[in-house]
Amino acid sequence: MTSGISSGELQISAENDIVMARRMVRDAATQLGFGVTDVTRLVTAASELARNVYKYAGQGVMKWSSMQADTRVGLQLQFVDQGPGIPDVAQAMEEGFTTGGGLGLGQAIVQPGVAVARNRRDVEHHLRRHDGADRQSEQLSRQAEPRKPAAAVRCALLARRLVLARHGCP
Amino acid sequence: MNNTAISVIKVKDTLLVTMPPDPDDSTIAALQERVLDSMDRHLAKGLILDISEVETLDSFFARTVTETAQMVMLMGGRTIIVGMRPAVAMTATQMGLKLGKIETALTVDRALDAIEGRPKPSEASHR
Repeated sequence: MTSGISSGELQISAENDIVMARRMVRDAATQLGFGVTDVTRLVTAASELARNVYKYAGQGVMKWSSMQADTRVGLQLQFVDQGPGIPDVAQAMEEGFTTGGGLGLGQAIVQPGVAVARNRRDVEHHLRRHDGADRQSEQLSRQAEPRKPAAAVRCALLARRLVLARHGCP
Repeated sequence: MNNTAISVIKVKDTLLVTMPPDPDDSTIAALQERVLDSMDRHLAKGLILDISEVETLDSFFARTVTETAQMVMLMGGRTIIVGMRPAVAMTATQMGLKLGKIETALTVDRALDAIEGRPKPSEASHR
């Protein structure tokens, strides 16, 4: 794969699509030059979100796209579904809270910097707000810890986005 | 879906279960039943779960493993997880996955010694 923006998407409508989502994210992250630990983190987060889509909404779509800014490369994952929604977002993000008989870790795992919204208006609001936060944390990480990757995870009812950016190209 | 993907073999009084690299949820769920069934059939002392091939340990996998270990314990057995990859261990810890009080070992040899009740080998037999 040559440099530039690449992207792809996957329909999630069967249990095996969780495995497909993991594979797709693993391939994309590996090709973008993420290290094995970051690849594992991304794949694990994708696995949680893909399972949520399948389990609670029945079907949805995962979209991935590479991002580039200066020497930084990122991978953005977006999970979109028309699920039943999350009545109490703050509660759902707590560790140990589950409605599906799981560990209650799925949402909490994808938590660092997460925004969850109840409807489209909320999603847009959160995304706008967190775009600003992302720029801030990016600047901060450049000044303070240039080697530490800036991680931002976005999670929403209608749109879940995950961004992990790293410094330098392979 | 394909529960033959899990290999369950008996070594002395211990069950050795090897997980495939990227199992789907059905395969993981099938693990529980096959393991408990084998425990009963072979009157095994314990279970060694080899996850050295496993690349992704998410909350569903972790929950199933923890539950299975509890069930094995109720049947009088001991469970030891073997071979967790460094990246998997880092991710599991950073993401707060809880694997209960499950024992772990670096190699199958050491886990087997622990379950079969042999004294710890000298440092010479490192690998």
